[in-house]
Amino acid sequence: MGAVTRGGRLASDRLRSMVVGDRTGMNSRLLKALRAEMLGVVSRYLEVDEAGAEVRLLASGRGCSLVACLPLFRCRRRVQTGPADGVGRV
Amino acid sequence: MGQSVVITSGKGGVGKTTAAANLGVGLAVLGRRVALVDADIGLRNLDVVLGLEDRIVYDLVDVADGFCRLRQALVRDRRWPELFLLPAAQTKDKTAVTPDQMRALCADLKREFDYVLVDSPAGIEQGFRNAVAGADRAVVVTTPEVTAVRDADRIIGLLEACQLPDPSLIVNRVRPGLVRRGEMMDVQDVADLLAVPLLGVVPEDEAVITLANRGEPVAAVPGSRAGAAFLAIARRLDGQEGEGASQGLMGRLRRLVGWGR
Repeated sequence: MGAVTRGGRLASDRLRSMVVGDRTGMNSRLLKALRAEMLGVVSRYLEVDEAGAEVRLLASGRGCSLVACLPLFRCRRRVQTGPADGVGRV
Repeated sequence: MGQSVVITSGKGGVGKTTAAANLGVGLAVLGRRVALVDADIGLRNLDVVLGLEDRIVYDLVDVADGFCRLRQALVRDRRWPELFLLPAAQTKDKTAVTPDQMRALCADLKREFDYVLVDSPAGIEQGFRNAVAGADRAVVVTTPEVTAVRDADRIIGLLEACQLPDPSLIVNRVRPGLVRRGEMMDVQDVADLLAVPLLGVVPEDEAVITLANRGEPVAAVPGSRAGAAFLAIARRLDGQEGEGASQGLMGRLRRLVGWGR
């Protein structure tokens, strides 16, 4: 396998994204919206590297999984909140 | 009491009819009593692949309508006395029979045969509904192409909705040279994505075409690669364990971890 993606690999990748779309009824526009909302929620608690964040739908078994990888700038809560305080504020 | 197996695919042209004919021959070679049912009403082909087109008197619709008895419509293949064909009607369409009629027909056939193999038409409409109505299990045929596998995934979802979960998979027309060069999807990739057990793999073989010209299924001809593959699949269908794609928790984990692929 060189720098160029082989046809078989390309076919497999395209197929996977089509099948995930068929199974979930999601498209790239909706996934973008979901990603933005997720980042909004998580950013209330943690400092997320938004550019490096990945939110993907993956085929898993006969269904799908939503997998999010959100790298953090600092592994610290943004604002110390009390244990009963469910919502952090910036 | 036998079992009924629907051979289906979603997409046309992937080799459903070829698979049905050759699995029928393979099971008959193993000594099983086999009824092949052509459920592609209006576009009948299974008789041609088997070279039985000149021997048809009655068809599936005649039986469903009570115009003849089941026995009268069954065409015996003289080469394998345990193999029978119930041909589709050529002049009607998919609405000529109902799922209830297909259920009754399969139940009748299962009393007389070890295997009732139903060759489904392409598509997801009434013809598909009819074909799966009387089935105990399903075999999905695909080729390692994006269009065919995508349709196979849809069909597997629909089979689950029809109470036919866990279909098994045949990947047909694999070209090992292209796979080696990385220009065709790998069979294991296809089976992993579809997440159903792999029943078998059939290599592309010109003999399928040259023999079909003469009405001879490849499984009947020694030395053909596709024929040997179909015979092996028939043996597996008849009871030996399938190859089994890697499923379960580990498989899922592996796929999750390998998400950059």
